[in-house]
Amino acid sequence: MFGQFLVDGHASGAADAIVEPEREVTWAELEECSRAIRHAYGHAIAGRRIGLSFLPVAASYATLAAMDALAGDAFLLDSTLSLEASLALAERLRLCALLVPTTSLCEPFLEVHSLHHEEKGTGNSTVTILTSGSTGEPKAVRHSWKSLSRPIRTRSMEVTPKWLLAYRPHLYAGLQVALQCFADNGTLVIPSAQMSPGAIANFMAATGVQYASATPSYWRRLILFADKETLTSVPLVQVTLGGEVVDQPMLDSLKSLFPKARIVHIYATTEFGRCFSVHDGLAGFPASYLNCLLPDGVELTVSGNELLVRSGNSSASNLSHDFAATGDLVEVREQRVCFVGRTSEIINVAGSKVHPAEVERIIRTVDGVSNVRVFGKVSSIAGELVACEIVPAYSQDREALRQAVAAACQSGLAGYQRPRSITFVDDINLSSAGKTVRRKVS
Amino acid sequence: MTARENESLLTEVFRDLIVTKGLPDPSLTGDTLLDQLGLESLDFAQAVIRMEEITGKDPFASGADYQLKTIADLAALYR
Repeated sequence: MFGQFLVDGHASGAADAIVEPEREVTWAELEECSRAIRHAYGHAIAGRRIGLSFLPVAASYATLAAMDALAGDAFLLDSTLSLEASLALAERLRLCALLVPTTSLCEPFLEVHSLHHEEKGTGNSTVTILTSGSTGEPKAVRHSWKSLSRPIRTRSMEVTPKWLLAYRPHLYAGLQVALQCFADNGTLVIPSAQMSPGAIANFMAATGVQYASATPSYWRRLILFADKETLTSVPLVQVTLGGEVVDQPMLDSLKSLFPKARIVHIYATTEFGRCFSVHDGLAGFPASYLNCLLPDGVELTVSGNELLVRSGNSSASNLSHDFAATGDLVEVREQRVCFVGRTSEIINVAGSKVHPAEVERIIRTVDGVSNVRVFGKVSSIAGELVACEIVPAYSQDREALRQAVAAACQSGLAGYQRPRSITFVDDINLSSAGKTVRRKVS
Repeated sequence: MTARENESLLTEVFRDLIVTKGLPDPSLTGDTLLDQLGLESLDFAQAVIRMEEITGKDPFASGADYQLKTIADLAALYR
């Protein structure tokens, strides 16, 4: 199915499929790259479990299309992980190989790292997304291209749209943006991860981005730091928010900056897929969405203040006839359903989920740490940030310990997983069950 | 606190963040452009949390409708 988009898009031949800061890649070039990968690596990919270190470059999409055509099971890995960590993860997932696309769109296109202990493939074309897991090990959520593509709308458009890719490409939201863009034969505009907000706004204006979907944290950063004149010159027709709860001030800011754009916020999770979208410019969602069948084939209900969902867009293991818990706490006020918190300990940092256990595991390895508690701290800029309390070992120099913890987190964790507030305490409260209390602190 | 005190507090918070990331010790003033600090958005969020821990204030709590270019622009929000 993903491969099909390339074939369909090929009709637009010389038009740009992907624009990166340093180059443009046409549909014909992307299709050619995918064909060459199928030819060169077909024997290694066909019907097997393959890891893809998903760099935000054209070769990643060409590889994904090749994997789809060859009925491979694609496992999408975070390209910001070190090669060593990616290979270790790929081994644990029992993959046959890890593919690392090259940033140039020339042969050999990929670095192939073969692995041992491979498990048998499903024989179908599947896509596994890795999200934060409760044990500190990523949780594998398997989708089919069909379940991923169900929320995609095919529209007849006079002009091929230009979409900004502002999400991490290997996660659900990033895939949705790419799929919607390619389904429209559009152009995917990919800024580099190092770009400053000012540079992103310049890039958006220069490429003429019309559709931009990003987390509220991403938008907040653009609004605060990018040049206002440049930002408002971007010809946006749709501004979409997802990945985090959206508040009213953010919606109002976007409306005043982009008065002509349609402002949409989307509720989606890796497990349940896209559930619903809201277009009325207000935070939360209308109570009329509850207890009925929504356009995306989704039903919502509230039980004991928790939002439950039954979704046809779910991943394979989450497809069920029963309502499933989302972990989001809601309140119904004047016909509006408002998000008020989470039931779980998972911390949502600018749209990326962090489980406290994975951070605690790293901090516990530092000499001088007697005990640690990791929790979410409300941030006006990034939704939540990771915070920790540390009980130092006896007579430990606290400044030296703070630096040692920061250094361990710098090398062992991704940026969004690192504690942004470290405090020292004498003791850590345990619940009656003897578990660390990770109640959120605002 | 005076504008100058806020500025020096902020430059110290940013300097600490930059050095912890393993980057060279920068020379920062009130005129330093925030966009040029080489910090990611989460680093900026971290600086705002640190300032709240020190001053008890979060100027972004009621929205983020500001245009900030320099460290001095940001420092002015903590007055």
